[in-house]
Amino acid sequence: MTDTVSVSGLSVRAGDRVLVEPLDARIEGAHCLGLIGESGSGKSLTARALVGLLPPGIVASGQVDFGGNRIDLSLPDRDAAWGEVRGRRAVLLLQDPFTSLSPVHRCGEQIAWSFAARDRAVSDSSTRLGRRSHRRYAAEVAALLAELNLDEAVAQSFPHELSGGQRQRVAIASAMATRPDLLIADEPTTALDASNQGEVLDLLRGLQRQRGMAMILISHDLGLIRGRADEVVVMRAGHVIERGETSSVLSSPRAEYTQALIAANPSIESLGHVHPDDAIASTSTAAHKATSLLEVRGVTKAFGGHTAVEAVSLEVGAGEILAVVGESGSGKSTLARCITGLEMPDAGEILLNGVPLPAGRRGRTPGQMQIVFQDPYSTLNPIFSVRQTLAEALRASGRHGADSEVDELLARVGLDASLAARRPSQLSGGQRQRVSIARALAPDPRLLICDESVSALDVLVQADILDMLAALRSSLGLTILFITHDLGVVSRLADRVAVMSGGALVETGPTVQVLNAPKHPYTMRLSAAARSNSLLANQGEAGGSHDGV
Amino acid sequence: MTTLVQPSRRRGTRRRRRDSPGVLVILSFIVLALVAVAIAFSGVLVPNATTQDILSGSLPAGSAGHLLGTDELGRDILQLTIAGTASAVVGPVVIAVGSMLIGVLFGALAGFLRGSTDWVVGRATDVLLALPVMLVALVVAGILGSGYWVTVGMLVVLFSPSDVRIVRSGVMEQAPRPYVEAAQMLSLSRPRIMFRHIVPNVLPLILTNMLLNIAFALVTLSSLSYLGVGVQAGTADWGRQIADGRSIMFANPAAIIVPAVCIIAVACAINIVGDWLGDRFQNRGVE
Repeated sequence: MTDTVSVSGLSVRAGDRVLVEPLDARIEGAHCLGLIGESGSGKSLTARALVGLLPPGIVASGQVDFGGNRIDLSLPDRDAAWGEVRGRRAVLLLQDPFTSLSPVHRCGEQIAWSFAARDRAVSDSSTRLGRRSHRRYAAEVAALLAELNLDEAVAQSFPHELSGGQRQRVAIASAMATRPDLLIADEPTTALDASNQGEVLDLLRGLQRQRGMAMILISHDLGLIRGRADEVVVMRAGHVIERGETSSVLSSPRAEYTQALIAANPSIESLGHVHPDDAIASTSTAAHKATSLLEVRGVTKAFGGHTAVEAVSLEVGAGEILAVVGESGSGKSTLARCITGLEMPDAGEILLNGVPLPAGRRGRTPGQMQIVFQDPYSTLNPIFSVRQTLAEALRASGRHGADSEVDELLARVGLDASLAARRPSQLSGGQRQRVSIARALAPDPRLLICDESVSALDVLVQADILDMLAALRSSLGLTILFITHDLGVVSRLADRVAVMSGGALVETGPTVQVLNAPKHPYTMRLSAAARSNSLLANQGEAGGSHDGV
Repeated sequence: MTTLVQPSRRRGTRRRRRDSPGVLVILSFIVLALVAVAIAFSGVLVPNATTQDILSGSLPAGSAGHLLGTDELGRDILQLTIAGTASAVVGPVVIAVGSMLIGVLFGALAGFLRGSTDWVVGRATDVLLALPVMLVALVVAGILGSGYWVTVGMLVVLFSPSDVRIVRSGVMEQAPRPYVEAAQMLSLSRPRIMFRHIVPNVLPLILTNMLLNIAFALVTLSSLSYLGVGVQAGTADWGRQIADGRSIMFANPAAIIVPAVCIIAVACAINIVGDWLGDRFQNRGVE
């Protein structure tokens, strides 16, 4: 099963529009090809074309050769020839472990389906999978689960009983079970927490290498590809911008675009060098001692029987950027919502400038604080134009909402005034997020809360917006509370870090200190994971250890 | 060596083809256009449909001067049917629009405010939904007399629970979205958030449901007319025509068939157009 998979002339088009320019690739067994690009670059279409699962109206051309078995990629997705390819020759591992597993079947059974599919293909006898026949594969399923560091009990669990990382490992198990020639992993860890990503990817890479499969690893994150892919292809708008051996592309990128991608990659290593905002950071930390703008005292919030936030107290100094870090479910978003008053805390107090605020939204004013949400697609009212949205925000804060005021607001977030007439559907994700920052700035809030505000954006856009926030902090004296799971973002922006785990605040301190010398076990794990995924970390060493494949 | 991607012409035509209405939709629009003409010009077209010179008994279809024959009072079926369009269609439109307005008001309040408001509105709709429409109509007619507008008013109330529920569920789906929370962060008033921000985003759902309600109300109102509740005897009305035509069913089948076909055709036309518009609304904003 160490066949070489070769792709020749793969291109994807919708009508006359070419979405992916012809691409050739050769992946030897046990090797891994990394495919890098931002959203819209055509990397996912390439993956789907290889298993004949393109959306309606989009067609592929070209050929793929699995160790002598050729298939024409232009065949329609219902063609019988694909039955031989999908599952047996090539498997697509999807991004979202929350929807890629069937919610009504036990995980063990779902993995057993793959084993049954493998046997069907080999013996060609109609081994139909009866209601209980998955038990036949119980031993194989258990062995595979053990290889993925999963407990045996997982076989008896339903997907909703598992964490995201566990679910994705179950999905990997069922992808591995058929022993395909080619495993295509489309952003396999993007939906997972930072502390989980590296571990799951390493497991995936280890199993794939051991079984001699070829792998295509698709990601927008250069840090995750580093040390895992042998060769890398950088795509942009359907074109291959650059390709080559991973370590050489990352250490000496030739294309300007690749250089920009590497520069934008939020790396916590930048802390080891001179922090560009060191001066500001130290002054604001000093200022924080004198005046704390926001004070949270013993805030607790439970949903049903589950305590999401437990007795959290923290302070944010005027002009400071405090990052609240934690994995999903750690209660960081709930804390932010309690501070804004969108959620009623069960206990505790929120003080702004030493004055207690009402628990809910009632009795609060827009100028006290504003929030920027994560999802750029639902953060703006889809039927309002940008001008309507911003004018309303200005009027709500006692101004006229005149066109000139709207234009000024747009300029502040780096958008052209000509965008004012557009609706959200006509804007890119980054532009929408800038508009929502403009809306939040309209009432001149003293505190800006960013709840994962850049995590849905591409790396380059992310970097731009983070730089913009840092600039706004200096020009407006803004205080920012930044909720994130991404330590790279933290090191780029924050003066201080508060780490949450299981609803409680486990560690607080200056960014440099918390990231370089974490005290709490959770923080250590997070920091180690981020370090191993970060681009510049131990470049030579990591590159060397994987060269001998 | 990159070439600019040309704007695709073929893609454009495919879009148009997908959006272009089918034969049924075009037929439905023709039916609705005829209805509009009949309502607008019935005074000119058939000024004395109900008061024509009364002959003796009914004439079969195809009689001289009466294409579809006459009813038992000697009134021309074709003229009567045209004159009956107004009462057949205007009432249902009023019912659908009226129940929609009630639905938007109470549905938005229940779905956005939740809590006790939601409970009260929810129980009120439960009670209304439990009432059998026909029975209530007969009872109301017995108490208030059987006027056309009394019946219409009653149907507005009886139709509103489904509107309330649909608007409520739509509002509940929108309420937790970040754009609504952003509006709350701006301390906008609750009516403004409900009716300026949320309701317009639920509008496709509301309008589609309203169009479907017109067809349902048309059938309900005609049934009530048939039972003698609603329009006064002697008034031109399709449901009434069917009821009156029973006695001459064999002498002139057209007396029943024509108004019945009209009811079915208009109800179907409104449903088809409603579906088509609903699909278009749903695709709005999807580029």
